Amino acid sequence: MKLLNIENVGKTFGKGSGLITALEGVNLSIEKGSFTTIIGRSGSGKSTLLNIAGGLLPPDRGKVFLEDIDLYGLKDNALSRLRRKRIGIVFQAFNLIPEFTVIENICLPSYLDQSKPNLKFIDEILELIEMSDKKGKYPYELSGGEQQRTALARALSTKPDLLLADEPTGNLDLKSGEQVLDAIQYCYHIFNQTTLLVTHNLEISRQSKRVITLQDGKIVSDSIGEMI
Amino acid sequence: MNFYNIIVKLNLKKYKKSYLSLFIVIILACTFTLSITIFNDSLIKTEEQQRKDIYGSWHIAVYNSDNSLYKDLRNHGTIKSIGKMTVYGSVLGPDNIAAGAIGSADDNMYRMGLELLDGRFPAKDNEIAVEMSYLSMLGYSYELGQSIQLKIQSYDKEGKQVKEIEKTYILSGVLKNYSTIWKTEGNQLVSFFVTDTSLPVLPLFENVFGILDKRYMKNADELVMLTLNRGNFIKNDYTYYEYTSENKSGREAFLSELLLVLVVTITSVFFIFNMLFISLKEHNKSFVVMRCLGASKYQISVLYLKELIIVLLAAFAAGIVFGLLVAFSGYNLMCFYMEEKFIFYIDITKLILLISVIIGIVFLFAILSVVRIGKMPLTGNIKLQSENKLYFKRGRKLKPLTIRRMVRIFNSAHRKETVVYFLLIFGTFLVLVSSFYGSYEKYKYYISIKNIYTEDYEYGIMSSYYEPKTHMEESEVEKIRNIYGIDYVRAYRCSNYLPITWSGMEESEYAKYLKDNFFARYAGNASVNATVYGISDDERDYKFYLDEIDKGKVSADEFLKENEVILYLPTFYKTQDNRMISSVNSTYSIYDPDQKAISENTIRIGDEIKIRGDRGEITIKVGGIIDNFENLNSQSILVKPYSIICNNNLYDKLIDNNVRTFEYLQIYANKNANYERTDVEISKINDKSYIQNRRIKKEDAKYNALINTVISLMISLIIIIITILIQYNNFLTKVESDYRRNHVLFLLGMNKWRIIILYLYNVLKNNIIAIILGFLAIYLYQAIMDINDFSNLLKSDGILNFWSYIFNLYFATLPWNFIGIVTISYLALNLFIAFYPLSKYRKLGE
Ligand SMILES: Nc1ncnc2c1ncn2[C@@H]1O[C@H](COP(=O)(O)OP(=O)(O)O)[C@@H](O)[C@H]1O
Ligand SMILES: [Mg+2]
Repeated sequence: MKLLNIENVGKTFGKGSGLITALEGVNLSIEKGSFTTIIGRSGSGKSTLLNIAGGLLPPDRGKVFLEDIDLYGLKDNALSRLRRKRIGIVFQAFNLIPEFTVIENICLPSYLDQSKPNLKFIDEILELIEMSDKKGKYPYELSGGEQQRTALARALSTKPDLLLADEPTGNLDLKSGEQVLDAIQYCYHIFNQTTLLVTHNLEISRQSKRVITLQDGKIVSDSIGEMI
Repeated sequence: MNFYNIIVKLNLKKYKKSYLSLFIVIILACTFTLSITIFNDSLIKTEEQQRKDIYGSWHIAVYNSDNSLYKDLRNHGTIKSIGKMTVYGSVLGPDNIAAGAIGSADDNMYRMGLELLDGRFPAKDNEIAVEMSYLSMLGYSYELGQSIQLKIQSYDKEGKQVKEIEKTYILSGVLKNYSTIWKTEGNQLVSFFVTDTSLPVLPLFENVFGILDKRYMKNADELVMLTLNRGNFIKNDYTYYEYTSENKSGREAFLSELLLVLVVTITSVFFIFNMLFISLKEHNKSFVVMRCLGASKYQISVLYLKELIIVLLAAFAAGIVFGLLVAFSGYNLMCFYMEEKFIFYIDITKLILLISVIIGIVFLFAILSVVRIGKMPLTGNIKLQSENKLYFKRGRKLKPLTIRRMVRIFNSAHRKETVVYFLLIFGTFLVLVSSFYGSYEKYKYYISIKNIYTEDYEYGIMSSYYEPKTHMEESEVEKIRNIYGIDYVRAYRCSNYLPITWSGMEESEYAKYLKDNFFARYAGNASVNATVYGISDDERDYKFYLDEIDKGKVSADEFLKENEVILYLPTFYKTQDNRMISSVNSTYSIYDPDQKAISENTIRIGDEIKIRGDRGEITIKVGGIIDNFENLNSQSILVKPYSIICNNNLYDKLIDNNVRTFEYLQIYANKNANYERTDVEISKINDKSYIQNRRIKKEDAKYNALINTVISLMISLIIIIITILIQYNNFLTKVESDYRRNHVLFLLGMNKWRIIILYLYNVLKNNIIAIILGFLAIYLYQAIMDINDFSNLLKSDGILNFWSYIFNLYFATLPWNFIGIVTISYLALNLFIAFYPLSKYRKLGE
């Protein structure tokens, strides 16, 4: 069953001589429960694609469907609600709010939804990513890897249908990066979390079931393999 | 679980520091606005009340009138309340000369500025209330209940004495002196107050005093028709400046109250706007994060508004309370230290209006900043998105980076902060300069009054182009000399215009122009006329003129031996429309390059002039010429061209007086004498023209200058505190990013000192531009205030002429030393504040 459907999406930035075509005629569909990696050189349009998929950036052309909902046909209110309920996003910059503690940061999407955070589930995630003992800490007391794992927990805290991660290891050293990727993979295995991951890490892309390669805003290869 | 409350609470905690600054700024802005408005209102009210106390609160008076006029006025639509003072006769002093008027006053009259020192006004027929100075003069103490024996003379309408009554009263009240101070133009006021039925004589006349309805205050002149031939109509321009043409108040002249409030409001609002801008910038990143996590625009807006409303409302509430508190304690402090009566006046409607305007604008800003939230992009580099854009503006040519260029680039990257910073300096500078300028003007006015009116009393108007209208007989002048407390009387004799001729007269352009334009109007004939001033043999009277001589020399001997005279020939200016303006009464015109100066050059030292006086023609010899008085004082205010200053013997030869008369008197009182007694005695000199009291005028001006200085200092103090706070805050928020930038520059090899110079140059540059703008604003304001001069000029031709006039007019008249001091102190203050981040720069690379 298809969860995400990207149809003939294009996006340009700037105008005149400074015009940049970030994406051009991209078609992509993501199955529920799949793990997909996007790779490509810097500037090839990976982040743009992910942002469009996450409802953060309206495309110039084409449509994005989550199941049968046309994302950019929604009003801001509805789109926001959809985002906080059904999509979880992890950025390269950890984007934690520095004055909030780990647990406050994680509960933020629930607060935004005016719903009670599912603390039991959150505890479960924290256990899984080995962050249980850091709940009351502030971001500046954490290492980079711990901060990114907090961001991951925050993205997962509402049990989203789709997890998007844009180079989550980009700002981390090798070891911490591996810990974060491990955490993402655990979640995929344990919660059967549909995941779309942008990465430089060829190792993890090799482990992935499906690898999509972008070049100059176009999909140049889409290979489906076996997840190890 | 309420999401808003949680986040708002967390955010309030999180942005504690910046909200605290916003809080403080709002409190200060409110304090500032409220206290300045209240002070200003209170000051104006106090000054007015003070004048009402001294000169009476009535708008108009009709002296020497009768009951029918009183009735007519009472029913007149423009009159709000009316009082009358009935005069029955005179009280005789110890030497059997009329000492003061006895009469009655009604209750309304008592409320128009008659102030009791002690006791009450008479209620029974045997009671009397007396002005304090008159009590002293008759030899009584101020003790209430004592019996007062009076000899009273009553007259009929023609002034013939009809009755002399002796009567004993019981003293029920002592009045503060007023009768010598109010504006009477020589008419009589009551000094001994009794009841209407206490004397068995008919009223002599009534003085009627009216307070006009506020709406009709400007129309006071309409009452002149009604009172024509029924008494002397007088407008109280001592109390109400609306009735004078003279501009008495420096504050009003320079900065009208409205402008002050406007400047204050605008500066306050910009302070707050600045803080809001900083606050939004701080929030920006976390708002974007929240948006990515699924917060809708609406949610974020409500969130931010909630936060702001809590902070703003709390701050405004605290600010209003604090502002009132500061104004009130400032008021008490002033009362305490100045030992003067101040009125604490709050115009509630005005304050409410003002505060609502400020709150309204601030909330408008708040809402505008909320709208900005909706426009935030959710993707891309979340950090410092807007800031970076400006750095990479396309099309910038590659040129070597000088400090100036770098400053330009940095400023344009922080355009908004720079604008806010500008406005801050601009606004505070404007308020500082204008408040000081107000005091300066008052001080200048006081000094000029003090210099010009060296005397304490004055008789006659010397600085007039008309022939003298006042003549006092020698015996009266002698009387004045012998009055208690009088030190010295300078008495001038002054002739009417007398035709003169001299050998070169036909060639004199000066004489020709004056003949047509001046003498035709003031002397009533079209010949050249001189005015002769007779000066006494006292050195204090003539020495000044000998010293002022510009051409030639006259020794005291020559002057006293009636050999030589001094001629005063002021330069005149011919305007484009052929008018003549004297340098004496138009300081401005001097700067108009197109005005032609005309001076007399056909009369030289040693020349002879023929004057036709009452006793035929006389020839005099010019010993010295004054064309401009260096010292401005009471002696230098004679203004007529061809004034001849000579001694009294020569004067006698010219003017045929059976009785010697004096036209102008300058009367000096002893500094240690009881002034009030002297005031009374002086006022008893009976003459058709009255003697003006300059002492009170001088004291009034001194008092005003003092209060204004105190107020200015307070305003400046508040301004300086606010500026320091805002600037400090500005620097606090900017110092991080600046530091990062400078650190990079440092790493790239820029010398530490160059970085510091870069920084200081930036601060100074912004300051100077803002100050120049401030000057322009002040300048423009002055120009607009002088709109009359403006429209006159616009009528005349040539835009070039127009600008040169404006330039000369303002730049020549502005007090540059004063403005220089304020400006330099202000710059120094700003640099001083700017030193805070400097300490951080010095640590670069450590
Ligand atoms: N907000 C933006 N404004 C202008 N150009 C942008 C913006 N975001 C991305 N781009 C451009 O679009 C192209 C694709 O960018 P991106 O999707 O970030 O690539 P990747 O993530 O693969 O490195 C790049 O050339 C980039 O410069
Ligand atoms: Mg990217």
